Amino acid sequence: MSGVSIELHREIEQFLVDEADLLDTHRQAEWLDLLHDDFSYRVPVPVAREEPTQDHYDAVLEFANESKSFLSMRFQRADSDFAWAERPAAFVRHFVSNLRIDELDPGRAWRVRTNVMVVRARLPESPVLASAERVDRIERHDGRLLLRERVVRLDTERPNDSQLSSIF
Amino acid sequence: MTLEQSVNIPRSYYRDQGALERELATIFGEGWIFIGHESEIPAAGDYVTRNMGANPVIMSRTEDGEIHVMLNSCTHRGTQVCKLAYGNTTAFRCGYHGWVFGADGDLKGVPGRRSLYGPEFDPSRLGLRQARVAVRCGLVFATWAQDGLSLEESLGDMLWYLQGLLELFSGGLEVHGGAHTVDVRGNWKIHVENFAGDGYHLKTAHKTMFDLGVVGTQAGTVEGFVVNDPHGHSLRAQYLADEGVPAVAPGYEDELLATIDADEQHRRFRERATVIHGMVYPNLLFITTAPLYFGTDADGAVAFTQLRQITPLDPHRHRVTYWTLVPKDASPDWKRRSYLYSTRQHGAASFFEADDLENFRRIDAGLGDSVAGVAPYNYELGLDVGERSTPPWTGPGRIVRQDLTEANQRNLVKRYLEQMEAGR
Repeated sequence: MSGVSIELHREIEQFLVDEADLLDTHRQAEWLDLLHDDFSYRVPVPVAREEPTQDHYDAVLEFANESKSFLSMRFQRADSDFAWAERPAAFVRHFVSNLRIDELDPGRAWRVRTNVMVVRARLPESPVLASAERVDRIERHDGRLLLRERVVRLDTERPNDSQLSSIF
Repeated sequence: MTLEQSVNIPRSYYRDQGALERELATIFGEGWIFIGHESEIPAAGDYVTRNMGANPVIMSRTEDGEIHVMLNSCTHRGTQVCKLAYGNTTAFRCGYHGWVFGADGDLKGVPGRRSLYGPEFDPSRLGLRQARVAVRCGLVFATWAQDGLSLEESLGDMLWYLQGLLELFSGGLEVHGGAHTVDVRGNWKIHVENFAGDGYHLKTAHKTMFDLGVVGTQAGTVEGFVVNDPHGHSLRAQYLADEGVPAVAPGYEDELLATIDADEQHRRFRERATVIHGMVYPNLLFITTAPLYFGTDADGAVAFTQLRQITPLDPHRHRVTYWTLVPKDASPDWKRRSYLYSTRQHGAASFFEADDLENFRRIDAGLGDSVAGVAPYNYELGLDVGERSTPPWTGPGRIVRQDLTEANQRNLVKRYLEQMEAGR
């Protein structure tokens, strides 16, 4: 159990479950509403290291680096009939587990780690599984929890393009 | 008006293992293949691992500064001697029986050599298999052909354009961060052909990008041209036609523009260019562009230059290695933004890329078989429609004064078929 109250633990867990539901049901506008205006979303490139204890993620290279305004653009695009890679929409399912919470600022900010498995299926490709650790920063503003930062630590050094197409 | 014929490439070449084997033996086996950028291995002992056709290779730098490209396979049982994407080492030790190779590929140590091997055993002939290496404009190429065309001969007219792309600034370019790889669906040639000069797909495949105002052409009227060379290389360049637009390479800081060290024609090649992309036959792709808008957090045109190397994995899948190059003398903040734009517009997870990858996989899904899937693809775009405007530069190669033409694809397929048929 992380060093936070059981109530807070439940509240954050429910936040993440609801958030994943919005992604799985393609309700992007509602999902954007859970993001802080300064939200950043990064997927650093994983690198195999000789030393098992060295960090597995590159400090410079990124598969994705997105902001709230950029994600809004991306979703605006997905609403268009000409977003070829989004139409027809993929089947997407998030499995979120292993919740770990560290308090950063009492009552206001937490570092929240989860393990996620994302299934994405869209013909002509076979369903694709992607496993990752998410390191989030969640903050409370005016009583509401908001996602301030998400770093996706993929569990493969060389993903394929379908694995990179989902929001984790 | 040149009298030009269209070309026919059998569809089976996009699905047959036999065709792939011939490509690997001739096109990848005999030609100069791009391996990486010299800035990736600045110090002695630095190395990266790459693909050269179906072969895993190590690109390393030795104590005396020489660059080697060698097969990543022990000469004893063939085990890969290097497992990491990059690093620095004094030696590569095989994990099976412990043979040790230097950064130059020479066999330096064999466990039990004196007691277990006889007097005839000769380590000097058991170094890692070496490729012939040559470097131009910072680009490291290698070939298994120990004689044959020099790299310079093989680059032909494309060398002038590579100089314009990579040697515009006096300090040169360097790789930002390193390289990364992604495996994608579709025959490798589809990706290569797309970069060779397909201006025609933009308004359909990338329509949403135009609608969102992301692409540089939003700034006004543009004129495009394509260039090709008999070795199969090609390039497409597009310019803002408005004389009121400052005559500079767009998207760079003023301090950096002041460091431009190039002749007049090379400057004109870059001035007002919204995008320049192309390919060095058979599998090095490049693009340089300056997106205008990328979300409110990263406003303003920032240029980026991206390289890709395409490696076939099987007839239906290929591996893409991505690099972003930045001018060495640019400010750290500019470099960061340039990389960000490169990731957002042309990274593997970007939506520009999503549209292209979607088309590549749909081509693969539509291949059909030897009964119905036999009609060759059509390459007639731009034939007999006459040429249009005049390019702002004069340079070598066959310059076609048309933007929406498949002249480059025809040239590429012609070169490809020459090699494939010579190998029969």
